[in-house]
Amino acid sequence: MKPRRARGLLTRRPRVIDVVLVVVATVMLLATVSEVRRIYVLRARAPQDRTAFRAFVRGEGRPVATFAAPELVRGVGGTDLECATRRPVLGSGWRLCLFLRRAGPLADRVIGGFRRDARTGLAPPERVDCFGRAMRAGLCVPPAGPPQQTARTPTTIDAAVGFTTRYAGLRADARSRVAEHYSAVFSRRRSALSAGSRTPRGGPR
Amino acid sequence: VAAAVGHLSLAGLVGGTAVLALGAASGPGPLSPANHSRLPHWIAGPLAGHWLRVGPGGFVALMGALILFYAGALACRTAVPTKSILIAMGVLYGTLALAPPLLSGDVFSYLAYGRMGALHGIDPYAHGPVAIAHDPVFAFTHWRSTPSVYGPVFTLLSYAIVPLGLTASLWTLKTLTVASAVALIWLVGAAARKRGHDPWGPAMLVALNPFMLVYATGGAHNDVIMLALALAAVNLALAGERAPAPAGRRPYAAGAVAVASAAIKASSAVILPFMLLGPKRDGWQRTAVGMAGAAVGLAVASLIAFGSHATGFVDTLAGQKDLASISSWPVTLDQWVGPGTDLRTVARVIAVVVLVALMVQTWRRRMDWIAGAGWALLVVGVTSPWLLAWYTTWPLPFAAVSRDRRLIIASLFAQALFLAHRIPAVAG
Repeated sequence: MKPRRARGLLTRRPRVIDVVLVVVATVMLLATVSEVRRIYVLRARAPQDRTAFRAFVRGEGRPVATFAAPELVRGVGGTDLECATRRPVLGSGWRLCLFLRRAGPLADRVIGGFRRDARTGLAPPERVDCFGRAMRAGLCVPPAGPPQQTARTPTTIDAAVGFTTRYAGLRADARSRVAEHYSAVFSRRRSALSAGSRTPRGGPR
Repeated sequence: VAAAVGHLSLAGLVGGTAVLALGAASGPGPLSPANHSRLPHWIAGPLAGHWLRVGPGGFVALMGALILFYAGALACRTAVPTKSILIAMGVLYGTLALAPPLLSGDVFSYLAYGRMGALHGIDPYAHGPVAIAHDPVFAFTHWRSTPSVYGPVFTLLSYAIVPLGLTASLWTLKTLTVASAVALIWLVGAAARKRGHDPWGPAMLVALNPFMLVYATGGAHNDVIMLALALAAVNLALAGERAPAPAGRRPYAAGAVAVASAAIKASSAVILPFMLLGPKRDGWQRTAVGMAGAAVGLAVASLIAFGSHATGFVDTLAGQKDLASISSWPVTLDQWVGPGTDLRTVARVIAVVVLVALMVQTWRRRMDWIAGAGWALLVVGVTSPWLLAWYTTWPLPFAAVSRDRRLIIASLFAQALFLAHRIPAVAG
């Protein structure tokens, strides 16, 4: 078969395939710009969120050093989801994740949270330490078998924070599940150059 | 002016790549990420001991500069003497041969899987490198509990170099990768010539591509070996295509070599149907027989070498379907649209539909089969939720040979998007 000779893309009438390709490229360009912008916006809030996370841990009567440096996973429906792995079992223990409001006194910013297995980001969070927004959104499900521990009683913080609709909770649930899934990727600055080649569940490709 | 810009661009490519190589050899860091706390001399290699450090921001700036130089070299290629192009390519790939593995620790996983099988008697298709935690290579591996995802040809190759010792094995793999890159460039030029085109443009499109240089070849990824074999198969198919009927043994060899490429890394299996559908229609049976013969031979060799775990890499690959990398297109769209829809499943469906459409178009002679294979590789890469930098080089040799401008632009666009994703992660 004689190969068709390439002609200038701009010198002839565009075909349907050209339009499709341009649309796909435009969508991907917009999505990428939005993603890059989102990461920078998230980063700008990270220091305050970290402080609020530590304030909450102190308020619970635990030393701040109980947890590794908190990481801002992503924004979730007007709040930020901040997670930290419990020491001294880094990488193999559990992570405490908190929903934080973006304004107001640091001590009052936590409006919900949950605990989840640090090794399996996709596994459902345990009922332990589940409270506030996370609990109301049905985010915390019991592990396999009958639950050994019941949900923590909502704190005064929870009572003080109103939730708009059930829909918002469900949306937060879905968002945070995705957020947890991506958290490992976003939190690895050092492996960023090699495009996340340290995600623990994968393999070299 | 064009000659000056062309020479300047080639010099910029050489200089930028040399800075990255020296920066990687200067110590542990994001350019040499295998182990974050140490870069021993046996890994740093002959360029070790330099003061030059390249941070994340410097890396992004250098990659940006390399892309500009790449564009300049391609735009002015007709004004630059062949000798200058050859010298630039030689220095570029020579530098990469001397540099430590860049931007990835995957080569240490290759070594670990080889040592598991050849030294410790542990099947790499059944266990991850954690099974040899006492081995000196273990400290540099990242995917510690994951069995090998590579094909039997590559795994057996990694077995074969183990007797050389760890240091020599590493540098043998690096040398093999660079040699494969050089072979790939030559094969791209040869295929272009068989099609009656000037070989230098296509060869430069592949050889000077910053992703091919820095990520694929610099990182010593087996994707380069896979692509070299795939282009060898393309050349054999083209030779058979041009020969008067009957086309002799070349179609058999083309089919067999294409299967060997897929047995390095399964991704290139996607080109097999295009090899059957595309070249001379009366030769497809020979190509199919070549493929079948190679597949049977590999299956027997795999059964002898790996026993009941011979297809373990297929199971491991299937188990990785939930992996997600931030640069992948479905994940980016997921973030943009919101998590209400499962765009990863949508992307898989789109991939299947597009692949079938490409095959139909190739079968109906409405599409060049080499371009079809290139589009297929691009679609597989960009619809996967797990996209790595070196995956974006897969369609490039096919785009260069087929001279499909849409495919060339789409491949380079995918690379540009990938780099844009890395900016916040590495540039701060």
